[in-house]
Amino acid sequence: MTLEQSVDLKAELVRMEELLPSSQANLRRLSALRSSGDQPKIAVFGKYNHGKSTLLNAVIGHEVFKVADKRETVTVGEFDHHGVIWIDTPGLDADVSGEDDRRAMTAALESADILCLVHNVKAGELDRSEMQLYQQLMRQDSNYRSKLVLVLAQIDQVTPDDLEQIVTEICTQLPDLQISKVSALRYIRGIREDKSGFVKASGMPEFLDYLDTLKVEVAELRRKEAQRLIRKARVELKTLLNDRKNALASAKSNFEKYEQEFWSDVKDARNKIAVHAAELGVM
Amino acid sequence: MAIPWLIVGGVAAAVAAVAAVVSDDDSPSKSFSTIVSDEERKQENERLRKEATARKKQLQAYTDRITRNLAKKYGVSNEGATSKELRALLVASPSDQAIANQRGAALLQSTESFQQHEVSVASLQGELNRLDFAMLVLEELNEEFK
Repeated sequence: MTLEQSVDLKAELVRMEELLPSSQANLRRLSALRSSGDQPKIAVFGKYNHGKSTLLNAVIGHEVFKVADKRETVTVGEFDHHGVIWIDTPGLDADVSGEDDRRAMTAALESADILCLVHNVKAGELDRSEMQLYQQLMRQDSNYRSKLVLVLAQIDQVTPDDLEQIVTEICTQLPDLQISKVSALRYIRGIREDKSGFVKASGMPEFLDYLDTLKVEVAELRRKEAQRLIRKARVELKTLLNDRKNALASAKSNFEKYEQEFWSDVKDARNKIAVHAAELGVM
Repeated sequence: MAIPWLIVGGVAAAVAAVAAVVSDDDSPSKSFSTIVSDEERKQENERLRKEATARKKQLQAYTDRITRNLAKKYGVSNEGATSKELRALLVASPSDQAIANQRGAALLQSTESFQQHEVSVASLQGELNRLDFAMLVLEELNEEFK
């Protein structure tokens, strides 16, 4: 059995979400991978006021995303810069973000090839909402780790010793995670004032170099990710198929038993009546 | 107008009977026993007929009880055509067996449980078809990302 050419795979993936509820996010990601253009997509997310927009503005080179003390980013914003689509997301904060925000965030994370979790180093270790998001991503696909970068922002606001201590604490929380330590403001100032020392001390060049390596590999990463997601969906589907096959075999068997029982009961009833008729001498 | 005829007929019969008894005066005891025997036979026949009727009624009640039990088990309404069909199936003679079996199959298909089984199998089969199709979609996607 093969698929007809006219089958709309995108629509079929949506339908499949109903069949495989636990793979819904992966199937949506698979759909996003099919429709992804050539450009890599990098999503920047984190709690509000942790420096997401400042980081994006530093990367892009001018103020595209608004920086504010209050929560400004309420919708997902995208910006195409040097062949990369940068995605700014609303804050992670569970206490302020509504269902729409969470949906927008999920959609942004599902469409991105690289995820940058921005964390203000002054806040210390990762808090509950950041850990929850990380765990949610890992539950969905443990390989998210390979495309997740933790960006410790505003490193110019703490001493090197404090920074080291915080990094140690975070490494205990999330071992094996790629960590970039940056100061976007120091980078912007270095560029603006042409001070290479500031640029170098900002940590931004290393961060951008790391993203460049990921960008180069993005096509291969996408392919591998898609194959991994398909494998996972296949395993779930096979389990479901076996379960349903057994259920069907059982239902058919019960059906046959019911029919057999009916005819057996009819036969027994006829015999009983015949025997009773013979006993009564009524033929 | 019938009464004179009856009187005439009755008299004639009595005369004939008496004449018979009289003409058969060489064996008076046999004639008497014949009359007694006829009476007994009649009574016996009546008793046998009543017994047969009672037995038939007993068998009918037994058949009804068995039909009721079976109807209850298979959710066939006790009143109405389906119950009659079931009864006819149980008492069909061997020569009517083929027709009875056809009726039985129709009766079976009309039961609620049969229909539930049928729906359940069809639903699972449909689900299985959708899952098989989903597997094909995944195979196609896999080819796309190779």
